[in-house]
Amino acid sequence: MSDETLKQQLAQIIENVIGTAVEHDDLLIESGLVDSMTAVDIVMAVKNEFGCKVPPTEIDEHLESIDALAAFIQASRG
Amino acid sequence: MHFDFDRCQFADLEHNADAPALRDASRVLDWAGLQLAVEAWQLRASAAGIMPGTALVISGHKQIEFVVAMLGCLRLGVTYVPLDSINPPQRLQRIIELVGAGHYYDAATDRFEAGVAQATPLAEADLAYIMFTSGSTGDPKGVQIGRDSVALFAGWIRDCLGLGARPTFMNQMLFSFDFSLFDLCGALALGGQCVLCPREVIAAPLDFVGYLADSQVQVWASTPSFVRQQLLNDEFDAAHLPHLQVFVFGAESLTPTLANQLWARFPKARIINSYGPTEATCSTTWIEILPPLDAGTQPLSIGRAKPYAELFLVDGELCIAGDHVMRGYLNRPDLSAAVLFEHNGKRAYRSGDLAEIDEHGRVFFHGRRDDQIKLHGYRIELGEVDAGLASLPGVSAAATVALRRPDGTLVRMIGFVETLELPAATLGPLPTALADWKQHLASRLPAYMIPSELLACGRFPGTLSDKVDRKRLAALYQETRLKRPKETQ
Repeated sequence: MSDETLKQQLAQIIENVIGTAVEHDDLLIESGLVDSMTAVDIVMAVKNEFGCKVPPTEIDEHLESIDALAAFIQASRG
Repeated sequence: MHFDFDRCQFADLEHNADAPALRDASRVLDWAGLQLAVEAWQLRASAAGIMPGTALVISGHKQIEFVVAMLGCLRLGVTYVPLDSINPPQRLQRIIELVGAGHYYDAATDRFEAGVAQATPLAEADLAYIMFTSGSTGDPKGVQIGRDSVALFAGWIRDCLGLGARPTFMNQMLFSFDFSLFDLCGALALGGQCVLCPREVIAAPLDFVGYLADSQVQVWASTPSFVRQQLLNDEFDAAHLPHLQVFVFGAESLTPTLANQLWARFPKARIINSYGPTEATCSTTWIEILPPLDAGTQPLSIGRAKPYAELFLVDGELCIAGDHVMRGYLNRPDLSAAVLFEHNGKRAYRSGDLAEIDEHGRVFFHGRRDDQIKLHGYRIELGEVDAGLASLPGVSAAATVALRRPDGTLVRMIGFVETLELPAATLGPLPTALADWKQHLASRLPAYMIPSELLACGRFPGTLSDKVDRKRLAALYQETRLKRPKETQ
């Protein structure tokens, strides 16, 4: 899957969870768009969709933005 | 041993006195030890000049001392006012003034501290506690609950839920919220154990599961949001928590999806859904949710009326009657008159919740008729958040919006401050004077009442009745996010 497709899919997942459109470089946690509860939903959706699990202690790091999350998913797929 | 809430005393003293009654992060207290601790606390409270018929504010967070003080108050005929340390000092002071408490007890330091100069006797007799909930004008309102109401609540847990002999309960909800009484009353009335879980234990998921496993917790009561967070931890399952048998939910909607996720981890667990406003002593309805559930088919019922509660609808609004209904809001006859009335000789309460009751007496929740929201289980009046925002430097008007998904579920709160610098109904960045708005707000409001974002807005869109149009503001926010230019620098 291309990087761009992955990011578009992530944008859709996140929009479904937070009810707001997001750009690939929006700061998700720092801006307040994603809080601790919606982060849980995003992590669960990513696990279901892509089969990779964001460790609970690294949520702030990998959910920083769609770009960061896409990089994490690509890296964990190897 | 157990605690008899009808007579407010320890009972059955010769049995299991050495069984654990309370556990917190630092120690375990057995039943004999608990009785001694409560008696000693009563003597100290009396010596400090705390009189029956007055209020004592208890502040702290999941210490055994907090529970000892609550039981001591019940024994002494003192009305306790529980306040978790999540509340900023300003709110603690305001509540001490509102209840006219001559003292407050700090459970963290185990000390009595000075309150108002002259304690005010409470007008209402035989109150167990006063619990403060969000008030739409910005001032929290004190819900007054009678001792008899608490005894009814404890009796329901003891007699109706089939939890077995001397069960162990997990206690995580803050003592400022009445749902936290479920674990406490259940454990104390049944002679079981209440395991207090402070936030630092909960924050470390693996430690938390270890703490619960070590305590052999059997009964879990929480908001659905809280259990959902635990699902991130793979060790949150029956293999690691073999004693956990019953989940009790309240304070927000339980979805079939979550129930199914939970059964995937705990295949044999019972799931109980419950509902009830603070104004009617923690819970008014309950229902056992039975598998299999078709995810996404229809919302779950919030239950049927308990034995001592009567439920009926007036223009779609759920009304609750019974001896568990509050004795009114503290010193606010105006607010009390707006929601309390008599029904078949009992106190009755207009809940503000819209509902439907089917032919089996099952209640289905259909939202609110006002600006009160439940965000992750926290009850919030948007008006109180507005008032908090309006106290920020240079802000003359503010409005808070609850952002929802297309299916109506709540996501988060967004705050708006009005500014003349922008055209009407146009959003823009905050003035620099508001850069540290979160810190400002935190001195006044607990963290769960602080919006996730704050934006400036030209003159607020209004409704026909001249109120701020919150729906329009929410739409404005969404539109602005959709069409904003790329502003990466």
